[in-house]
Amino acid sequence: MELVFNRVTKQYKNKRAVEQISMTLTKGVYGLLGANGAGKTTLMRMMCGVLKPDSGEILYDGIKVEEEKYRDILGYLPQEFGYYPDFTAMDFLMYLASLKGIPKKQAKERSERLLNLVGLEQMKGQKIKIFSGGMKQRLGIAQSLLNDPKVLVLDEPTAGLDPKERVKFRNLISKLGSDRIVILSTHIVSDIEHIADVILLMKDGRMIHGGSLEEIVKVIEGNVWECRVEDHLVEKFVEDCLVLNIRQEKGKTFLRLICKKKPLETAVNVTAALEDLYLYYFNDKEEIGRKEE
Amino acid sequence: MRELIKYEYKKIFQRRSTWISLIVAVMWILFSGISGVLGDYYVDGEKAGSRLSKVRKERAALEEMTGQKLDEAFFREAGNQGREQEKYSQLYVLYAMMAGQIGEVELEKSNEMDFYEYRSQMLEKIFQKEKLSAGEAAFHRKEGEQVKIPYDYGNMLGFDQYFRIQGTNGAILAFVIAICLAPIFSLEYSSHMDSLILSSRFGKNKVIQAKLITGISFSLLFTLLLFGIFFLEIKGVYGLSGWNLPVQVSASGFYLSIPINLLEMLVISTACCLAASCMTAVFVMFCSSRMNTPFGVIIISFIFIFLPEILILAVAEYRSLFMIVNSMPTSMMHANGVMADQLFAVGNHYFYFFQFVPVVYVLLILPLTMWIRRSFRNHQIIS
Amino acid sequence: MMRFSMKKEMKQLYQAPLPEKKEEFLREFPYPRAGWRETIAVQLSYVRKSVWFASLLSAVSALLLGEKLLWDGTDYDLLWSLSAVMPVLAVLVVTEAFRSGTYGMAELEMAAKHNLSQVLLIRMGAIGTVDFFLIIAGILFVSQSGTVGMLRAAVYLLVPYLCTCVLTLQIEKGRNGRETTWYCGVCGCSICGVSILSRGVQEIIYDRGKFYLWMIVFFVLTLFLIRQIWQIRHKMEEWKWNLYSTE
Repeated sequence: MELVFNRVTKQYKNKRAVEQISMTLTKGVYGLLGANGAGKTTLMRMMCGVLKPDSGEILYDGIKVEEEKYRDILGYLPQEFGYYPDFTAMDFLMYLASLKGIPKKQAKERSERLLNLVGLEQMKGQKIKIFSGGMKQRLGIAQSLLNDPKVLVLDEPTAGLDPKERVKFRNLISKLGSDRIVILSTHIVSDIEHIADVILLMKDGRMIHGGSLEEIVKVIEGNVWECRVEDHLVEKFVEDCLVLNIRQEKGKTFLRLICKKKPLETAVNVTAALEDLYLYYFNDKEEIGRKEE
Repeated sequence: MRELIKYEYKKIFQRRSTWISLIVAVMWILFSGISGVLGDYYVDGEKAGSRLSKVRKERAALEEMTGQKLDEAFFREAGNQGREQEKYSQLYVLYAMMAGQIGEVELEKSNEMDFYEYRSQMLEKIFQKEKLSAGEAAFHRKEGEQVKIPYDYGNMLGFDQYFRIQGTNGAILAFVIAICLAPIFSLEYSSHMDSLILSSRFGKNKVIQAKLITGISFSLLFTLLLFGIFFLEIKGVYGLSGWNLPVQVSASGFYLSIPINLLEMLVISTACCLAASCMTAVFVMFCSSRMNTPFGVIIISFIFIFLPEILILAVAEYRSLFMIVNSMPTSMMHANGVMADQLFAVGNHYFYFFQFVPVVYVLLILPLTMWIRRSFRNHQIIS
Repeated sequence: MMRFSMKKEMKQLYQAPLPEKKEEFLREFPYPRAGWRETIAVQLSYVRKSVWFASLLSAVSALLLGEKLLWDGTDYDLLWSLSAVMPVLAVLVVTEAFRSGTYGMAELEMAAKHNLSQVLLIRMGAIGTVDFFLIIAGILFVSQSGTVGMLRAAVYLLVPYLCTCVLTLQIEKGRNGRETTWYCGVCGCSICGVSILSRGVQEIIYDRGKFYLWMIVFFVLTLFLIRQIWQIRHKMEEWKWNLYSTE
């Protein structure tokens, strides 16, 4: 089970959305992290065969992603997906099951099971147009699992879900990742932290870093500090260091920042988190350069 | 595949626009069938009675004449009885049509030979007006010779009325087909269902086939339904007993030289309507596969359907333009249009519109459906 | 001269104090607000150029068709072609005015100083005024041909226009999102199509004896339209929830 990317490139008019991405994905959960406009959605669309790369190719066990054989084992939840407003939740799943080639009897059983799994069993006979945003998202997750996919691509799957549903979703994905390739992209760093086996950082169309959480935070390990400073000194720290978090407290300001050397006597060295790494990478280049100086 | 087609039909019939347009179309058809018998008719500015009673009397009178021929005896009696007699009123209509082409001709002063002679003169005048080639004129003369003289007579009212309104009904039918089919591909794009469909197993093959089958079958079934309703209405109001009369005894066919009867004309024009609605459906689906919203599709379809109705009036004198405009699907729904005097010449052979254009439609439909498949399959989801 | 040099020296000797409470001051500052004229002018500038162009093109094409192209030239051809294009003008007015709902901008516009109902009325008024002048021109052309008088020409042209306005406003009230443009387009094309197909029965439709029916329809439609405009002005809540919806 291998999804191979071979120098995949996609260019829009004056912007390279994805640039020369080469990697091989095997079983497990991959978290795709990047700022807005990094190229995550473009990459995912190419993975699903709904957008053609300008150059390069994506193969699953030697099969091109444009082929029916691949789509047969693919599950996809787009960032924005449509629905027919007058379809009920059950109709919607049954319809997508027919598109995925699932026989009617099996489709009915699976649809009911999946609606139960995502907590929509009470709403199965209701029209989608009355669903809230979170309900629609859960329905979207359900449809992506209809054909028990070997490759599951989820673009912003937890958008609109409340914390309880997010935790439920995380548990589900963790279970699924054991015997299939799951790729999910999200801005919610804690989701990736909890479920991704491998984290892929994407910036300006390129993969800038990839690995397990422990591996990738090594870049900033030992350089993350927390301290409390006088209010009038905050601006100086903001200029001199990469400040990750500012919080007003009584009389003083709490700072979490990245600095090569200890910024203040009273500063405490803390364990680097994924969010710290995200802010470290997805900051202005100039700023990083200045900080490193 | 059956399941996919079922879902496509479900999607069409779930839209409110489909139901509204179907209901309006059926109401239009029902109204068009009875429009000829509503209200009153006037003679010299004076109200003479209701149209319904007039039509009833005419129908009865003409049905009594079934089996009679337009021979010497007939013309003698017609000349004596005058136009007020219901059984001869249609004959006076034919004489008025002749007078419009060759100048004053009077039924009262003519006999059998005069009628057919006047008719020949009328046709020659028409051939000149329409600037037919020598070959075309010769073809029509030869066709005309095959029509048995004297003509059989009887009740041609129903067929006349049917052919007169068929074209207008056809245009409405075509527009309703466009309304129902415009969203078939484009709505998937605008509603963002395209990413789910295209990433599914059958999304790039069977789904497209299902949509095409649905579109074409819908247009054919709907055409048959609507024209079936219209046919039954006309039969009920005017009667269709004159099915075996030559087309030349009806106002709709008086200018034609083709040796067929009214039933054959009905069959030919219905077949052309089916071909035209199929062509309309494929064109609409083609636009739908290329455009991102149904709005653009309906605008282009509207122009495609209704522009020929306007242009046909303006291009009558320009042969090439006329041949193109009269070949458009909406024009092919007019009974007179499909048997127009202008012919397609292939070598030494001449073909009527109803013989040539459906073949062209088939030749166009095949590459268009392939293009539709390619468009949807290769649709790139960018936004 | 001395004053100038002293100023310069003073500046060099003493630095100006740093601004204090700058943010607060700027927050409280009474910025001048745009008046009605400016608001209307701004709204006009946001009406898409394609709408003006399409309206003009439709009217001119209909005029040319009626006057020049129809070779057999029945008396009513000009009237027929102009009345067929009236639904197009009406659809352009309504769909452009309700662009907020179509593109999900309604919520933002409703929270602004000049609220949504004012914006809608300004847009409808602006494009409607241009249409009014086009219709006047049409009436003059038709009455000049001598077939019908000015009053009859006005009614024959305004009835399809008002009918389309009323129906499309009702559609905008009842539907939301981008599909309203679709429904309005279908409505406009349908009325236009019926007008086109009615060429064969012009003599019956435009018969002087039936003009009273046209007048009745005209008044009924005008009343409907006034009611709808009043609702937009005073009962925006009824229309609001449709424009609010994101789907």
